[in-house]
Amino acid sequence: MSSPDVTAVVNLHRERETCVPTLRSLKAAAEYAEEQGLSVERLVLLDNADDRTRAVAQKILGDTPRYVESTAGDLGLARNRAANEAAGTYTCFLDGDDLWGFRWIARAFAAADAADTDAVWHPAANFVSGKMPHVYHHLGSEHRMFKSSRFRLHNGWTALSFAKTSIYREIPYPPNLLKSGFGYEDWSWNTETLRRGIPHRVVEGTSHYINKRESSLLTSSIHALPTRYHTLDWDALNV
Amino acid sequence: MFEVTDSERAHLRQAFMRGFYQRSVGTFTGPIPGLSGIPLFEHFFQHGLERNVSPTMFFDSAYYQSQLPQPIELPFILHFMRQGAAAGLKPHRLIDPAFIADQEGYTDRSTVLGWLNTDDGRAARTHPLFWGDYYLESNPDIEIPDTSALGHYLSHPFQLKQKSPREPNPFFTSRWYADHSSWDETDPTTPLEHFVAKGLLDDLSPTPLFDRSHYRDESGIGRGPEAPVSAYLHFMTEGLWNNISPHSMIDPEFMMSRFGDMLPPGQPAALYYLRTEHEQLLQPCPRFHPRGVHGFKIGENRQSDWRGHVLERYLMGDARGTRLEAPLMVKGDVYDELLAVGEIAPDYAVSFLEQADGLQRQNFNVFLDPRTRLLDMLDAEVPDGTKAIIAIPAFRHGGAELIASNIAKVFAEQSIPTVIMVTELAVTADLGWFPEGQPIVDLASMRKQLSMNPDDVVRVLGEFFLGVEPAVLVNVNSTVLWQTYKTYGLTLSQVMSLWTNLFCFDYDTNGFPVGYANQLVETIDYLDTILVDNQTFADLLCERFGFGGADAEKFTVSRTPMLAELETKSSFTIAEGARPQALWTGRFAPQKRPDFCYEVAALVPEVDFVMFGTGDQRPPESLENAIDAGVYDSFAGIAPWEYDLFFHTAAWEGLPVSIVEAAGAGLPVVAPLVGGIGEILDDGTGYPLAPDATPEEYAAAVRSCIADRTAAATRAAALRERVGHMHSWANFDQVVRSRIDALNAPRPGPFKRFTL
Repeated sequence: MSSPDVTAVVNLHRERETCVPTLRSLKAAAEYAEEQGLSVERLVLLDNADDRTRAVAQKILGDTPRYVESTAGDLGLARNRAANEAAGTYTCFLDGDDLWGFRWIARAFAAADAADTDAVWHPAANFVSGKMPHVYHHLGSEHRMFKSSRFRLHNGWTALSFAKTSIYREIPYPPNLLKSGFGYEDWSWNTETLRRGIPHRVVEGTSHYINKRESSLLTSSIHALPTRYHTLDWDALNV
Repeated sequence: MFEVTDSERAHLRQAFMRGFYQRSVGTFTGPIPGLSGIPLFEHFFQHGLERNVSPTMFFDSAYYQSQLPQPIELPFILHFMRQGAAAGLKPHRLIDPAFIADQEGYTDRSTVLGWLNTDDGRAARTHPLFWGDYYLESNPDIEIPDTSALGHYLSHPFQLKQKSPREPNPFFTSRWYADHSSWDETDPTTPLEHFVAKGLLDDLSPTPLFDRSHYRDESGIGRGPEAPVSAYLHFMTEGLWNNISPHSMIDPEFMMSRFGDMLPPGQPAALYYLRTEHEQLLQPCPRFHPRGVHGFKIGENRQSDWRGHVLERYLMGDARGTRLEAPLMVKGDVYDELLAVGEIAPDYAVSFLEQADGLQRQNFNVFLDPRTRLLDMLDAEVPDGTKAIIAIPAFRHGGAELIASNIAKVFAEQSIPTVIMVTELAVTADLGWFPEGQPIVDLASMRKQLSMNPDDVVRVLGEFFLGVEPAVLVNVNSTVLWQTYKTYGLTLSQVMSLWTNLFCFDYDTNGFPVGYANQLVETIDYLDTILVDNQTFADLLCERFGFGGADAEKFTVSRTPMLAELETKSSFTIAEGARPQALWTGRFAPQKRPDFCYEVAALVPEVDFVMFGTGDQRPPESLENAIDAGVYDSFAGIAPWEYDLFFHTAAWEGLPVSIVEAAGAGLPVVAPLVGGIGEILDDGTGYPLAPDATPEEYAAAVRSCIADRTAAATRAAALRERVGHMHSWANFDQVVRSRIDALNAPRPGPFKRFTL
């Protein structure tokens, strides 16, 4: 049996009913992709999840997905676990309080499949809710207006990326080491993939919906900086 | 009297405007012969020239005179041709010869008036705000070659009733300026002349297309006293060409992402938009579409490329009742997806759909962030392979620079690639203190140029230091480095060693200790090495803050080395009848208590107290024996060995370099036992005084030092020997090297440190 084209991962923790729209958006995107002829594996990564969240996921997605339990207690490490479990050629991530536009999986796959090189793919538009709702437009790393020094000061892309599963395995997310002043596992990962020459590209005509909560990990990382992979002693991390 | 050369006469003839001169003579108020019976140019040459009657509308005699620092006898226009042009004077408010040379390539400033009458000069951009080429192109009814663009503009006053005003540049709207300034139709000058004379100084905007507040934020020029007075002029000379947004409705980055490929080389997006908005239906920002303006039709009633003015009219309110197409920002497939999300999370989608037209748009903007620019500037200045960065607040002859230069010398001797970073006050001259080959990075100037607040600088420095990967950062009194240590010390200390140097506490008017040492409470965990120049201060800090164990071991006493090349006092005898000379050096500031010195001087009138240093509390003129000797560049430069004693009055100290240097010069020292002074000064090595000693006790010590020169010589020699041992270069070098040796030592934890 051949491997599925895409593994669609949703990372859940203790979102309970608040993750219902997220799960529905995953369902819609996966079904749309299947209508386009793709095979999509659904993978629900439950990291230190509670029963109620587990039950909500079961109710919305049924038995179709693979449910993987994790005790990582860290979003980056949970994504690593999912990448290691994924059967798809490609993997894409969704966090428990965000949404995908329904064309995301299909269009990202089409773009990646037609591309001349391996890349990390991002949606064109992000509708960011919160105190100041706004639309954040992604810019690809090969765009002439992309500036690496700007990227060092501002994370250019959200965590909800799409790439070959092998990339996520070869370049795992670092854990958040906020007690040591390093955080932003997605920014760190973006930095490292870029450093290794993997371009980040935008899938036109696609959108994500990001729920920006004031108490999110992002705001607790305010005085942290992105992790430099080459300064990490992965053996000492013991992850 | 003056003589005119043939070439000058030829140039004046080329510049001469018959009609203008005729009118000028008609309005001239002084006595001048009539025009009849003599060619007009000859009349000018024989009569008008010496009376400063202008031969051309491009030379404004009154304006030119206003630029002269003092009266001159030479006719103004000749002065301009011979000296003024080269000196940067302008013949007219709207003619800037230097700008013309830069823009048009006509570099002979002295003959620029005649050149403006040539075919090449007729369409010239004569000033950053007057674009002759634009003026002619946007007014194709003007007949060339009968007149030049500037000549036409100056001689055709703007009238409010004009349907299509002739504007000097695409970002100038005379009608708007008339509504927002003191200019009106009765003004004898054009709107642009009025704006250049007054509007620039008042930071006015002459067009609805330019929003000062928006631009100051977007460009990063800010609003402080260092910021450009006129945001508009900054935009026209720099921002426009760097695609910085002048208004929230003009978004160059958006435009470049939409039609960047269509831009002619060198043409900013905003200009291209204004030129073509009525033809190509391009959008200047996601929120505005020319199509959305009520009644707008492509190309209607337009005579040239530049006559659309759709956005301009919209912003002026001419197009009231305008309707913007909604939703402009959210459209196409993304709009479909947003609608689909409405079925999954209705509240979520509705909140976006309802305000889709007014949503703030963000993206990865490369132009507008001064932090990015600062990071680029720093990266460009710091060589690859830099292993040490030493930060100091300024670059002058001070204690911080001295200790930093000593550390830098040790680093240089150890072949550690080192960069000196000046953080607070811009570098103005080379100190000559730092080893050759160590780059001086003037962060202070960069901050000033970018008008950045300290928080943003700290943010950049955190990332910058991680990128440079030095083994060690050394902070010697840099405020912004202390802030960086507080904000990112936890992060940086995982991968590099953080050092600091502390001198002493300062004390506020209530007597409470203030100063950088207080920062230790928040940063001690991140620091590896705390250099202090005396043990007393280290003990005081450990006592005050309760530092013990590993924290206490971070304190490293690195005594400032004595100047090796200093000449030594050879004779202690005071010549018969000569007035004894006491040397006082330091800042004329409360810490050093110069006023206390004045009190002592009043008690010891037979001794001259020669006082060197910077600061405001200068000696009173009424006190004849307290002599203000001005500032000094170096201790050796004031020949300390020629004085009879060194006198010190500070209220608090670390271990002042001046005392170390005075000891090195062989001077007997009279000083209070504050800070670490007691580590070198006692009854055997000088004339110590209690910290709370009275002026009378100081006076007695001075008299004792003067009265018994044999004892003074003995004590001075003992002090010199003690200081020579404790404050030797070898000692300092050994102490700093011991800390350097620790840099490559492995540390537990998940991070690999940058090493030498």
